[in-house]
Amino acid sequence: MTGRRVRVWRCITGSVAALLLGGCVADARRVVVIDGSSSLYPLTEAVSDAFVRENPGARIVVRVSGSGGGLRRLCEDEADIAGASRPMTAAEMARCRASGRRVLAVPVARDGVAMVINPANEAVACLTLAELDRIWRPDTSVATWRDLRPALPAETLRLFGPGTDSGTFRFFTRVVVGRPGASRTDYYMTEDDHLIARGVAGDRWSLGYFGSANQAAHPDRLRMLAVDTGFGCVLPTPAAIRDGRYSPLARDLYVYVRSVLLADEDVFSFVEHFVSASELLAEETGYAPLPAAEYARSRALLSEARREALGQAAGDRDRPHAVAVEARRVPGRDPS
Amino acid sequence: MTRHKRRRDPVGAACRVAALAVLSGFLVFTAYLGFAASRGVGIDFLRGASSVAVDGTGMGPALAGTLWLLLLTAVLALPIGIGTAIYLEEYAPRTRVTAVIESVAANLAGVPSVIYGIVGLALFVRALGMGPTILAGGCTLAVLALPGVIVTSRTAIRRVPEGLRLAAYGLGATRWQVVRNQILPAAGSGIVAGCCAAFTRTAGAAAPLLVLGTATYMSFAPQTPAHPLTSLPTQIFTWATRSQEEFAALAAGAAIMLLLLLLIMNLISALVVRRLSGAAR
Repeated sequence: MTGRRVRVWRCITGSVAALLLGGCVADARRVVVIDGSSSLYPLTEAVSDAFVRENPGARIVVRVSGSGGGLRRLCEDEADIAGASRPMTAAEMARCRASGRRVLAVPVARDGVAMVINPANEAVACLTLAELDRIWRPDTSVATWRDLRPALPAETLRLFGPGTDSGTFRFFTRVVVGRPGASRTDYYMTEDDHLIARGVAGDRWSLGYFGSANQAAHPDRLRMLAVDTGFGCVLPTPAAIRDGRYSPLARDLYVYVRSVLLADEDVFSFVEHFVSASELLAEETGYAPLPAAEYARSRALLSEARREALGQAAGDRDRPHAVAVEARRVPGRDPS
Repeated sequence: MTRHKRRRDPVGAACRVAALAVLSGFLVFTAYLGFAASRGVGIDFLRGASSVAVDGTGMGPALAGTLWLLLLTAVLALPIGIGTAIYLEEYAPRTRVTAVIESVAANLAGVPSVIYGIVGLALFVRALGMGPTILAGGCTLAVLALPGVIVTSRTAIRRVPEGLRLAAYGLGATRWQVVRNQILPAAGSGIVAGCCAAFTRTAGAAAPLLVLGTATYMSFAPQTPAHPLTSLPTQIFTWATRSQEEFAALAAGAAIMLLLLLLIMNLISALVVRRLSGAAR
């Protein structure tokens, strides 16, 4: 091997080593990782985008693995913030506390569970909660649209819906079937709402459900069904979600954050921005904003939690916990 | 071969048709991608981060992620893979253990890549606590590339004529001198070509990375291996499965970028191969 070649090799290996080493040292700004609900994803994306525009250089990463997956990762340190379309269950909370992690729930918006069909299916415009129960219950006998209503065509009903890690799935089964997690299983299940949308858009006699904000992305390829929840047939529009007419199928969406992380400037300002931006962006991304007082309360709660986290970080451990997460009552308990 | 003979050669004709079909298929495919990408892909696409709005979204993070993954794979898989091949061919005695290592390496080369993703999730992401980072992705892809690197390097080393070895040993060379001065220069072009093939396989792998957990949205290009995992193939998957039609153009644009990257890698390897095989003679 000639001397020149040795020099070339030293140069290559040296620069690779420097790159790897330098990269590890130069990591100054914190990467904020958000994982969780696909129902909340359109809002998360819009909020993150606005945040990055206002704070150039901010490092935001969003993953989507369903509410259950996001909350699990939050308690395993694989995510800093979890988006959830349902409150944390008692079991999840216990597991998180067992590993010494405290989390804070911040409600950010409301949405509804939207029933969607193919635009070519003009035979049906509204379903009742009882009909939804008959379709989705585990011991269902509904295989065609005619099984549902004698007036409808005898076409096979092809179903698309979220998978078991989804908060939407647990919420829907609790409200419609009566038990969280109880559902027929012979349908196309996915945590990816885009696949549900594609499935329904490609099949004339299909029916699917997901968070109503996802429908805003393709108004002409899917048709929302009205649901008769006792107030007559109501579509899950932001107005109907806000004033409660869509109520049994409308729910609060949350972001969960690990309390200690609020001591970090980047995490805190992102969560705070999430609350403020949700108030502005919720409507245009297809959600219903919460009442203004609710946002104000979240902001107060956040800054209190930040003070506490900073106090803890400074070694002030005798101070009593100002915010007991468990004490914060979240509407729509999940009995499991 | 004379004209007369060729006309009577149906197998040769069939082969020519097959080759033409492959070529035109590839051209049509690339043209289709180019057409799809031309609607909605601009300069910003190269740099911009993935984002909500179709305009302004880009593959900067994904491209940087793939470059990082390639670098890590090379740094990890090449020394270990080529080292193993040299050991098995030149140093190891033919025992039962080496026979087992040989057959394991040969069989692993055919294992579906998603299996490596599951191994990577359990080992690198969870057990070693790396999390879904570029580093975990690089390690997983290195493991994925390893069997290919070992098998092709061994084949190249085995093709070195036995006389070359014997002559060198006869002149009093040590084993390492034989490997360094005779075997590696003679087998170099084969090793490079084989490693390049193994690499292109890993560069295009989406399945193992999706299992590890990739970012759906990422506002910055990864600058260290400790940053969250993203890559061109997984970004293509994310865009291609989005239900809004506009994202199909982005997926096509990223696909062209990936093809270009592989083409550049293959070109570099072809140049290196040519130089090495010239040097050996």
